[in-house]
This record gives sequence, structure tokens and C-alpha cells, in this order.
Amino acid sequence: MYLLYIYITIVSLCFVMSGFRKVSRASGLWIYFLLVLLFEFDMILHQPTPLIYKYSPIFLTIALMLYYLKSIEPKFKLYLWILGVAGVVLSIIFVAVSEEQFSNNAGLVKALATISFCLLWFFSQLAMPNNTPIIKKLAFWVSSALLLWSIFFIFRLMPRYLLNTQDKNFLAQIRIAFQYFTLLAYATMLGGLIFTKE
Amino acid sequence: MLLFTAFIIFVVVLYNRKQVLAAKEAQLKEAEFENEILQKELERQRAIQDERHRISLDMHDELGAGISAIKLQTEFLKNKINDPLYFDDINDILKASTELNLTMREMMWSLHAGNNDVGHFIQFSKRYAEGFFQKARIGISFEEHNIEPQALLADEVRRNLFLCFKEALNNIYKHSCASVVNIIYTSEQNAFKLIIEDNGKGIADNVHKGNGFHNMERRMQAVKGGWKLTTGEGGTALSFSVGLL
Repeated sequence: MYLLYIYITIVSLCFVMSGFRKVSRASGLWIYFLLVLLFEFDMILHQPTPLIYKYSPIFLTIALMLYYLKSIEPKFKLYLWILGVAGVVLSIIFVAVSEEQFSNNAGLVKALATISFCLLWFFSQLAMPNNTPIIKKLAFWVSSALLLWSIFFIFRLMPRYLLNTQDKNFLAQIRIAFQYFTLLAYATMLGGLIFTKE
Repeated sequence: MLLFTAFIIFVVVLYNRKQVLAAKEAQLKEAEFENEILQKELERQRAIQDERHRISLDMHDELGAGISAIKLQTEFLKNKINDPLYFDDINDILKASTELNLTMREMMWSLHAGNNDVGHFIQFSKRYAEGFFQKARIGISFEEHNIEPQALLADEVRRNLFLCFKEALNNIYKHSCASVVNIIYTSEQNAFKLIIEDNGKGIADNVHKGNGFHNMERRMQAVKGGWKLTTGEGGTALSFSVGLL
């Protein structure tokens, strides 16, 4: 339970910092953190049947797309649009057809879209470097954190049903490890918000 | 996790390398751009010099021939006409055409880029001074110290210095009552110095210094040079100093 409190605190700090800083405020990163907080509070308050959590893949993909559209080099915006629109459309389809509280397929699409946004950003930076070191860019820390989180999200999501029947202990360990990685990812984003300038 | 860390490190290292390459490319482009600008400026200067050379050649060919023809015809006229009443007028025409010829030669010398070294300046100014004082009873002597004949003078500097030189000789002829003029050319520490001394009556304090001195001062200021006037009962010394290229 304490992990949840730490997680909410870190995400709230990320939201505050992203709204406080001029660059991240302009790029719309605060929207992503606000949505994360909204969906998490929905999960907490409306357990076990959250009201809006199942729509989180759609809106979080849109929020990330908006952030990267403002952070990425203009030359790569078209690719971002294609990946983003494909991700959103697929998420909508999976959410619409799913009968569960949370569509795994939509979650997977969201994770894949996030990974593709992050990789596209890294590629754009390598293709068109500027005078600022990459580790001093906020988008570097955001992309690294989201990439880490998305990879582990997929790792947690895919074998869930199999492990639930065959190895519940390992599934529990993965669940705990995922929580720690989530904390690490958001702590990394918070560090980026505090210590970077661009 | 290890793979992820390795990937991030790889991205950072690769970005830093590309950043250095991009910076070097930008520096190279800037240097190329500056070279291009310099090249264009050089071409422009060359075009200006070529045009000046063309003008000086045209002047020599067209005007020079015309002035010589006027002088010749006037001399013929002088020989043909026996009436002394007209001699003054004819002499005036001859004098005017001679002065015109001299002025044209000065302009040609000024335009010709090949005359922009100290050696040519000294040669031309000596010839001018000798011609100027030829008919006056004023002895003239020259001295040269530390002169590098190939040292260059800017076109404007050369022109203004010569005009000051002319004005100084003019003043000596008109006002100084001098019998001897000494012209000294020296070079020191990237500067060329021209000193004109005479043994005339000097310039009294109460004498109004006319436009000539103001013009000298203005010309030297325009070329960031200096000038100095030293005068007394033993004579006057005018010193001009200009920078070399």
C-alpha cells in the first residue's frame, strides 16, 4: 500500500513540476501526468469496477502524442502522426470490443505506441543533433522512463493469464517488480523535470 | 534491464559523437562562408582597381594627347603671331595647359594601383618638388632613412599625403621667403613619415593660419594619420605621419 502512496506522490510532483516549468507547460507534458492521476484516482476510488480506467490507453496515447509532437524535430512529425493515429484508433477498437474492465490488447497497443514514440524521438535526436547535450533535455529522461516502463508493462501483461494458472508466485513477483519499475520511471521523469533546462 | 541501460548509454555516446561532428561541420561551413565573402570582396576590389587602371589609361591616351595637341598648337600660334599684345594671352594658355597636364599626371598616378608603394610615392613626390621649384630660386634636397620601397600605402592615404605635400610646397613658395627646402622620408614602426623643412622666416604667432593648414589637418585626420608644425625664426618644419598597410 505504501508503494501506492509513494507512486501517487511522485506522479503529483511530476504534474506540479511540469505545470510550473515553462518548457514542459508549453509542451503539454502536464496533461499526461494529470490523466495518469485521474485514472489512478478512479482505480482507487471505484475499486473493483473503475469507471474510466478502461479508456486510459486511448487518452494516454493521445497525451503522449501531443507531447512528442511539440518535442520532436519537425521532420519526424509525420511519422509521429501516423504512429499516434494508428495507436489511438486501435486502442479505441480494442476498448470498444472488450468486455473486461481493462482491455489487455488496448494496454498492449498503448505500450507499443509509447515505445515507438520514444524510439522515434531518440532516432530524431541522433539524426539531427543540436548544441545541447542529450542528457540535458527533458524529453530524453521522459523517453527513457517511458521506454523502461512500457517494456516492463508488456513483460508484465503478456504472460499474466498463463502465470495465473501455472505460477502465481512468479506473477506476484513480476507485479511487485513492475510497481518498483513504475516508481523508478516516474522518479526519473521527476528528476528530468527538476534538473534539466530544455 | 541491462540491455535497456546499454541501449541508453549507446544512444548518449552516439549522440555526443554526432554532436561533435555537427559542430565541426557547422564550423567548416562558417569558414567556407567567410572565405566566400572574402573572395567576393577581393574580386570587388580587383574590379575597382581594374576600372581605375582603365580610367587612368583612357585619361593618358585621350586627355594626354589632347592637352599635348593644345600645347603644340599654341606654340605654333605663338611663332606665327608677331603682335606682342597677344603674347600674354598665349602664355596664359600655355601655362594653363601645362598645369592641366601636371594635374592629369597626378590623377593618373593616384588612380594607378601599381603606384601604391612607398618607393613610387617618393619617386613621384621628388619629381614634383623638383619641377615645382625649378623656376624659383629655392634649392631642394632629399633625405631617406629606413625606407622600404615595397611597403604599401592605402590609396586614400597616398592621395591625401600627396595633396598635403603639394600644399606645403605651395606655402613655402608663396610665404616663406626660403632659399633652401629639405624633404626627409623616413619609416619607423609601421609608419611612413614625411618632413618638409625650410629656412624661411617662419610663421609668426599673430599670422592667421589659412585654409591650407585646416585642409592638411582634415586630410591627415581622414586617413588616421598625424601632422605637426614646428616654426621659428630659423624656418618651418611640417611633419606628416601615416600608417603603412
